[in-house]
Amino acid sequence: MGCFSSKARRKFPGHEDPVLLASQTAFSVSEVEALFELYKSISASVIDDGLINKEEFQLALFKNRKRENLFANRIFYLFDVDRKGFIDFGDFVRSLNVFHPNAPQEDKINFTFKLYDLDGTGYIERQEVKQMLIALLCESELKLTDDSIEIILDKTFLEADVDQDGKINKSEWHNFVDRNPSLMKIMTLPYLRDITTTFPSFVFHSEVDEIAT
Amino acid sequence: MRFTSLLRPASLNAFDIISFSLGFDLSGLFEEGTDGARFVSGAHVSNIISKLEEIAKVVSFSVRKKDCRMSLEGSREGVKGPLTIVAEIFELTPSLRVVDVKKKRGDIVEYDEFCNRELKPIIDF
Repeated sequence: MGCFSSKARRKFPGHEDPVLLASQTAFSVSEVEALFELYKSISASVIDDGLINKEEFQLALFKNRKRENLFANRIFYLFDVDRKGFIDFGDFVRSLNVFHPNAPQEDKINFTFKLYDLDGTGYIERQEVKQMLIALLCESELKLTDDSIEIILDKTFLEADVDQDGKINKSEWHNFVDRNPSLMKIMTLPYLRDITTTFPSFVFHSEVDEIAT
Repeated sequence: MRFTSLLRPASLNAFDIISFSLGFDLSGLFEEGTDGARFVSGAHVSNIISKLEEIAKVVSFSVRKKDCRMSLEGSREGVKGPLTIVAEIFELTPSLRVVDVKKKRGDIVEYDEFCNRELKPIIDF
């Protein structure tokens, strides 16, 4: 197969060789191509520069480019692998790969640990969990009293924080997830297995077709 | 004889609750509209289940249930299959339940309509 990138493709700043990406991920070459269709539309939605910035990410998730959300920020931050301030196509595919049903459980657990470790200290502190809980309550219609919040935090840390030092370390997190597998629900997107049927338009744009013509 | 009053829904920890955030719902990247909704209720689990069964009856959906999880399936075949909704009931605190509603199959517009027309008016206690 090899690199058959057309001139148009090479000009695209975020683009990476789909064959290479497929070899590094659970996606097939045609699935990477389909993801590129999606990537193209998201990355052009606010600034047509071939890269996904935070506003474009917010627009894609919430249909509202101005909508700020703590958790979407964390996801964006983790997708932006080398902290460039934007997500390129390689970032996009490799990060979505962690959400693939076939991705190793270990990778999913590590991703959530980084997700919830807001200040990147290597621990999920009680204060961080409280902050996230409050952020969720603000975003949703759920209302809880301060007492209820403390009770929920107490209960959670009693179970997760085995050495009772007020924070959850990586191994405590792994054990906690083992006992509460539903926590990993957010880390799998089942339709990543059917990507090519979600984006039939890729059929008109794939590099394989370009070779044939 | 009905034993639904003996049902103890799974209790939610802080991370379960945090997981409800739309910010984690990457399906928005792939699909128009939202895929899930959550309702809070002070009612007992058995009452919530009864309410959902009532709604299903009105719109002629078939119901399957196991413990605190129910599946409501429509009969109309759409392009994406019949509308299938899964509702799961959890304990938020001893006096509050959360009903987590998700579309399992079917058209998202039909699902949004169902939530707004049938679910919301009845479920918001």
